[in-house]
Amino acid sequence: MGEVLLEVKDLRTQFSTEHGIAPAVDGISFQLEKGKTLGIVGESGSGKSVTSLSIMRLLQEPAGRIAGGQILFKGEDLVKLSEKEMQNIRGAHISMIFQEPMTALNPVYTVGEQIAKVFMVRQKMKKKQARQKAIEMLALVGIPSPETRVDNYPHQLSGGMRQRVVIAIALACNPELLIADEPTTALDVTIQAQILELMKNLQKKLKTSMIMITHDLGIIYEMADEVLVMYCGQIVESGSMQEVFHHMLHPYTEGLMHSIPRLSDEAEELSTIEGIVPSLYELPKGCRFHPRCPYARKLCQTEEPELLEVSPGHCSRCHRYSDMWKEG
Amino acid sequence: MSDPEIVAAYEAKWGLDQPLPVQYINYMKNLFQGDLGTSIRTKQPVLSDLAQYIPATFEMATFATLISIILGLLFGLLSAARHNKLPDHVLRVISLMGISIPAFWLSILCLYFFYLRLGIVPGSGRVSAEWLGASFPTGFLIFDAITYGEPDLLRDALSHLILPSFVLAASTMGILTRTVRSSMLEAMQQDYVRTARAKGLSEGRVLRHHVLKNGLIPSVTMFGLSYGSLLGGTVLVETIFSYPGIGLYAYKAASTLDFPAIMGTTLFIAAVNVLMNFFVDIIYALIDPRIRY
Repeated sequence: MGEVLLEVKDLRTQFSTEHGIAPAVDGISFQLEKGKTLGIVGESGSGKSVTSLSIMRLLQEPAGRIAGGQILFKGEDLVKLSEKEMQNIRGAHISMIFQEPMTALNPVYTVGEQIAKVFMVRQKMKKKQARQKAIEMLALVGIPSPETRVDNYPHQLSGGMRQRVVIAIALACNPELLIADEPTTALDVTIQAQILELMKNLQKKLKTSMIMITHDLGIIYEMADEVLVMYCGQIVESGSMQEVFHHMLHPYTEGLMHSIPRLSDEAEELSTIEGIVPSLYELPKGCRFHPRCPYARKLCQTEEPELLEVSPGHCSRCHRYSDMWKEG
Repeated sequence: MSDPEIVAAYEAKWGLDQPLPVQYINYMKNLFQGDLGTSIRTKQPVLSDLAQYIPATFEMATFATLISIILGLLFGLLSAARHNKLPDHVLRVISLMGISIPAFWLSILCLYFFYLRLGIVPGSGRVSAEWLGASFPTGFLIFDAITYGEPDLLRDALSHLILPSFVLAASTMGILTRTVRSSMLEAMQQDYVRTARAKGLSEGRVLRHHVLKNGLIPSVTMFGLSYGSLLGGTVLVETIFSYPGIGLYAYKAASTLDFPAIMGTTLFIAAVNVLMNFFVDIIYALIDPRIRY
């Protein structure tokens, strides 16, 4: 086993709203080794984005806050750091790419200025030198004629180009960990493939560890070494990509897999997981997935399942692998 | 009413015996030759009347603009930075009062306290009696006082200017405070602000570089729009403070049915308003790169 870069232990993140307290992330734990890619997959509202914002400590306070747990980055607990100390981590050691390239860049500054800023603030570079580095970064993320593009404003670039700029900003200081929150969701399919290819190549080149957050299992299959499947703020299945894809354990993972349309499919309608994601304010008793689960029994309605290690390194939060299931 | 002959002669003299379209065409013809007609009340060309009063109003409007921009920006930024905390609540009440208190009432209130009760400012006019006979080269008192090195005149003119300017600025200041506050709060919610934080920028840097510039764009529009109402406000404020400017001139013209003067002032204020909004459009292009003409 390689060196652990990030270890999240029993992380709990809550949002207080007028409807009450929503446990958006409810006790998740995982590890990320150096140079590896962890894929987090789940539907909207499963808590995957909140997990990444918690690691970055970029939650909209005071509504959203980390209520418990530890986020150990190279052994240091990020939860305990002051805002000032956290600013030294962000951008330099942990960076983030966001979902919407259309709005993630500031419309009133050129892309060059926005990249150069990172060098000027982080590495105390002079303006001219930072601009040169910005051009290098644009070339690195595959933007043609970077010398002229550096003076473009975001509205002069296409969506794919902007996402490349966002990646350039994130990678500017060569961070050890890159968190990509649905980096290709807003892009069309051909551009998606290009951006994923780019991220894969850059990761290899710069030896960055990555957390890839997506609802698209195809992306996980392409990119990830390890997979976490999240549902209602909890991990329902975790394991290596190979294990999870070929020996999936949780009915929710099965559902996600069956929802992928296949070219060979004869069926007219797309298959989906029945029902909807429950509200975080009124989580079902017992297993949170039982109202939508084809295998659900009486036990699932009353007892909350534990995350069990079914085979080495492969865990599932489902009663079917517990002793109680065999008994009842 | 009276002798029809006199009436007919009067109407002929002012061109009122012509059909309305002809009167209009005549007015427009004269207008394009720089002739705004002759004031019935002062018997002077309206243009020279305006030229005489413009410096006074220009001084007051500039002063009021400075006050409203400085206070409006300051209050708005403070309000946004302390969103939903005590300073925000207090400033919101102040800006609401600025917008809703009628200028004539605020004028009288200010006169009562600062002039009658406290006696710290002069009550009315543009200068004190001792300067009344003096002639001023440009008519812009502050400018003249500075260029000719008359500190007494400067102090005197400023003390006359401060109270009416403040009253005039109140509503614009209120509107600006609210606009700056809401557009800053909106800008803070944008994705690019999160990107800036993710870069590791400090909170102050994020606010100064990423929120401020975007947040000021709507405020600039608001300022252009409210400048017109500021000029309109001079009619009331100048009348109450007996301040010899365009506003007082307009009031006197209106109350004596001096229609060439009324049209002249209206035209002037409209032209200034158009000009202001033209400048605002230029400023727009300077601060927002998405706008190019």
